[in-house]
Amino acid sequence: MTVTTLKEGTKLTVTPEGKMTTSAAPDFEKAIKENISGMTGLVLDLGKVDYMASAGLRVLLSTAKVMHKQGSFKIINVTEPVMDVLTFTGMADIMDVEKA
Amino acid sequence: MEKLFDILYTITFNIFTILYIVMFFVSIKKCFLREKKNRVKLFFLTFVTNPIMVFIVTFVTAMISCGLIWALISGNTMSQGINEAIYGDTFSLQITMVGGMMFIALSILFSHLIGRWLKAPNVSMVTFIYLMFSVIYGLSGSSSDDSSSAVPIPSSGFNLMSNICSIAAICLLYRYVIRPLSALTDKERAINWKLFLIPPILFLPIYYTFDYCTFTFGSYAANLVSQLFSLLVVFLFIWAFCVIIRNINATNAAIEAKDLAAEMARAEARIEADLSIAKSIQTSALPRVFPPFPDKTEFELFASMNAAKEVGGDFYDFYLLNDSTLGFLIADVSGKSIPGAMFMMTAKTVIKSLAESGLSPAQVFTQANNKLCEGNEAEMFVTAWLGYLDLKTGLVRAANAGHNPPVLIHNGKAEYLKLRPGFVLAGMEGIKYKEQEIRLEKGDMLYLYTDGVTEAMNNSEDLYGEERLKELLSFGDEVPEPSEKNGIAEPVCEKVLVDVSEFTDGAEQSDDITMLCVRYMGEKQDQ
Repeated sequence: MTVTTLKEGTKLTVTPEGKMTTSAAPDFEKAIKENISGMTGLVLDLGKVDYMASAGLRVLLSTAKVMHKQGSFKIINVTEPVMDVLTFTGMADIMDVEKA
Repeated sequence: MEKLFDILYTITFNIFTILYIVMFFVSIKKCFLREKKNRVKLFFLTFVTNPIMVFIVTFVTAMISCGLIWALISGNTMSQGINEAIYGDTFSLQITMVGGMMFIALSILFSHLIGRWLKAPNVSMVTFIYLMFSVIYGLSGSSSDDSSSAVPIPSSGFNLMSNICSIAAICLLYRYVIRPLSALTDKERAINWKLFLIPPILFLPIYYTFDYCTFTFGSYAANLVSQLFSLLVVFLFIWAFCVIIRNINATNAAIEAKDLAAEMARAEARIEADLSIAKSIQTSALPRVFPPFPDKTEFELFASMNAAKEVGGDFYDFYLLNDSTLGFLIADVSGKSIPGAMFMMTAKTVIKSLAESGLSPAQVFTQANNKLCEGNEAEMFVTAWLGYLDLKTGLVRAANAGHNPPVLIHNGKAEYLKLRPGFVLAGMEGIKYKEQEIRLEKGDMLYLYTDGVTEAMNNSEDLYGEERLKELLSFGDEVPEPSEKNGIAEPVCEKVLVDVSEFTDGAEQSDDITMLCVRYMGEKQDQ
């Protein structure tokens, strides 16, 4: 899984690409962990992600917890299959999620 | 000009000699001290085995033995023989040859014996190398004093150059042969020292033949060629030794790689063994006896969990909370392997004890969530769906904690129960869960599953999907054949397993496939 990150001052945008399988989630987590310190805003662009396994959800949850102390956290461009998962796991209620 | 060359020659010769002895001492020390022997022995050793000493000893021995042989053959006295040997023309070539041969033989013997005596094989290696080097050096001097003026280069000039090259050669020998060698012996690998015999055995006969020819024909040009050749041989020697050492290094690297691979294979096998134990613990924690409550005819119940290769965290559970209430649960832990399995056990136990204490499904989840948030450093979470079936009325009170919506099969038609979702358990403290109600009529089935079913992938990375599941479960009039003990709950589960298996068509199972099917059969009929 390729993950591109963009830093603009204290705003971080992370754009993963591909299927967020159990084996891909660690790369995603690493990209976030390496860039998150000191960021006051995190935007996750899931426009290129069409599948989310529970390992990916775990990364979203722990990221949300971290950003809760540091600043804002938003998930944008969510595709339909991923939106379904975020909805029935209740993540869509807890987090700021925008459909594509 | 000649005088200058002569002076330089003497200086360089002395530099070379000193350097040679010092390098020899340092090399022996490197190998010797590595093997942790004492310094006195070291000093004595270098004195005795110093190639220059050996050189003198062997040549003296050669002269004496040649002299003796001559004396015996020609009937003269021994002293005359030796005189002839040293000063005469007849034998100087023979002495060189015999001396040279003896020197080589004695070198080999010496090195071997020293190593044996001190129990330090690398010392014999180093000694041997230096002795070989000195053979070449010794033979690279001028073969004759014939200073014919046919060639413009003065012979002393040439000898000077020869010395400088020898100095360079000894430094190269130390840097590229001795140092790697001592590093090698550090690793305690058995070095086949006989390999180092190969350069001398290859080069020396050629050299000797050449030398013999030039000596016999004795022209200055031939002498020059011979000296150039001998210089070349010195460097070729060093190169040959380097190649040998590089080869040894490569072999060692290959051996080490193999050892490492074997070690990794062992570590992997250990992990696999641990995982299979964890998996068997997980599997045996789930109730697998069906029907679990044979006396209760108000419902049919069947459940299965097919673990993926890595221990996952799916589980199901059911409890008879009282005579007329059946609690049933399906859940999926986000963590994998041993931490996931441990968390699974905790979650299962917590939910069960809360349910059995009389709380409603929503209350169970509210309290379980807070309990599971405690000490959850690995930040795992659980999705779960818990329902209480009232066996008298068919009413199901349920709470959903972020789990996949279950399927309700009514009159052979399947629909998803996409009711209000709740947040996952152990994700965040303080969440209040809400209860939902579903009315089951007699014959209705509730099919619960984990994402191992809907997200099963085939080799083209297509997902099994919710549509396919819904279609499969809408069996319409083609009701599956009831099983012996579990009605149609069991065959429905089997049907899904078979279909998923056919869909994935041999692709590796990436997640646990878990399902629970409960069918309401109506209130118990009094006989």
